[in-house]
Amino acid sequence: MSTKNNQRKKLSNAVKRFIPLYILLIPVLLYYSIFMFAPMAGIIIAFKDYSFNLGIFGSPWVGFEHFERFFSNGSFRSVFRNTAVISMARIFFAFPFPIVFALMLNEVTAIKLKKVIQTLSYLPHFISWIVISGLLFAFFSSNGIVNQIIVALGGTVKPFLSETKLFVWFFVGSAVWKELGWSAIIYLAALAGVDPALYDAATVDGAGRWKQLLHVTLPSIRSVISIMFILSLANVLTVGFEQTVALINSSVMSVAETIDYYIYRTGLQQVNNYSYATAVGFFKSAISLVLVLAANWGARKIDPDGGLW
Amino acid sequence: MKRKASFAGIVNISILVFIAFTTVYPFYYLLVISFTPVANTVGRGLVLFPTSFDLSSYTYVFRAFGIGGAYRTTLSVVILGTILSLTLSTIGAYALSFADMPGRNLLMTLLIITLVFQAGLIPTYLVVRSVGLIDKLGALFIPNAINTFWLIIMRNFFQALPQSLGESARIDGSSEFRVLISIVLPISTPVIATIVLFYAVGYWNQYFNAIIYINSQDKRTLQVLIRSLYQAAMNVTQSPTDDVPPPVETIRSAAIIVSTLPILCAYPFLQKYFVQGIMVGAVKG
Repeated sequence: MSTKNNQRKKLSNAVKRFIPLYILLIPVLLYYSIFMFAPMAGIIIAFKDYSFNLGIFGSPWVGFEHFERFFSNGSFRSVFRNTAVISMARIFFAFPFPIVFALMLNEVTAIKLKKVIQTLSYLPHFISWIVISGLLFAFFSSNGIVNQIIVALGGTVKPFLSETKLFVWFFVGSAVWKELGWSAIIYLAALAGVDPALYDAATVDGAGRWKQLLHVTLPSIRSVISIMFILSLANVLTVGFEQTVALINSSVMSVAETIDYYIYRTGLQQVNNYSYATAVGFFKSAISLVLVLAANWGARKIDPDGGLW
Repeated sequence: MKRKASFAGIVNISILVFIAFTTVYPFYYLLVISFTPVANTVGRGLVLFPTSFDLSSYTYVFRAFGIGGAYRTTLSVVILGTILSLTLSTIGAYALSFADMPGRNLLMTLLIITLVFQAGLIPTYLVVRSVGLIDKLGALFIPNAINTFWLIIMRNFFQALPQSLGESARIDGSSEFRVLISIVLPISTPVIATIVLFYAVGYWNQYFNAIIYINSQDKRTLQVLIRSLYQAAMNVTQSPTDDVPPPVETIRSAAIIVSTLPILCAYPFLQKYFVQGIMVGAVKG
């Protein structure tokens, strides 16, 4: 009885201490409720025929009609395939680059030079996709630098940016260029944490630089690599919307349109198609949720501290 | 233990220097082009040195495109957005840094839910519309005022501060809010500088909100303006035969330089904060 009272007193004391903080938290809570949780509740329009006049609650229920509609829709299938193709290319081709870059940088012994290279490599991370699409245009459009060189060497102009076969590579390549240095930070931090005594021991054992890389460096950062890999799998269905908007053009639409772009196009550029686009978005979010939970579980298997939370 | 330069080492450094070169050269190239009179831009190939210094494209960009107005919009969004974001994130992060604050775990769970499950574009759009933000300046920063990842970075920083820090102030009866303002914030400049930079650069570069929520021309941001300059050009280059260069190339280059210059100029001075902040917040709790 008295302990219960004590506990209650303790709690009320704790609450009292934090009262000003709770008051300050109100705007934060308002932000999350309005812009994060209210939209989550709004997902119910995926199961309704939402019209602006009737409102969310007045609009009639239609069950899974919208889901059936997009599953049987050929353009949704192609959009789904595009998203998967770009993601796969990203995971299998783009993923290793920051690791290799970090390993290469780790081998540089001139501290000053290493620092300059590293600093410059972060720069593109802070440049917008719109500007990057402008850079791509300056280099690869039909009168860009590359085509001018081709023409000067006697070749013919190749419209790189409107070639459907090349789109995925431009998409993934520009993402590699943008994030190479930035994504390498985590690997460089892991490399900096490798015990120098291990290298000394390896040198004593007669291991050259290459052997040291294989038997000391790589094993030391293996868990970071696996965690980053697993977490990247969670984003299979998320292909940067801003990047898509920046790089898409009418001639590559058939391979460039991703799920997010499709939601934007059907939901906001067509009249009163909100419910359909919401259904597509919900489908994507639900799959992503499962993938994130699985990835987090996997990352924690490797390292108890390795997950996102 | 000094290692001597080997062949592999030289190849390694050459590749790295080349990578570093590719991050800078495109901007240099556009800078040179932006100074070149329109007629001279044909068939120049790989440019290393400027051949002329013509500022007419810049005058044009400011006079005809109203880039000044877009600049004003973008700057307002950066300033207002960063203030709002920093305030909300600091409060949230600080509150979450108390293991003993009643309700803290619930709050943390809610934040993580927003990280792993997104409501999606349309439901968010409908909410933004119903609170009356469509085509308002506020739509460019209010709907994404808090970046939960960065909030958690801040929380990790606060959590790593020694518990004894506010102790004497607390014994004197100061509230946690007073402790935050007068003790915690002054020693948190590294993480605050980083978060301010992340938000500011984010708002400068973002155009998702601008294309979704803004319709009127006078609220165009820099990124939207540049996108419209390129969109016209992108969609006419379908056929390999049209090798006539659009005369706007210099103008587009000038527009890109004008809108990227603040980042390029500030970058050398600010880059250490970017990395520092990521490292500082990387301790999980």
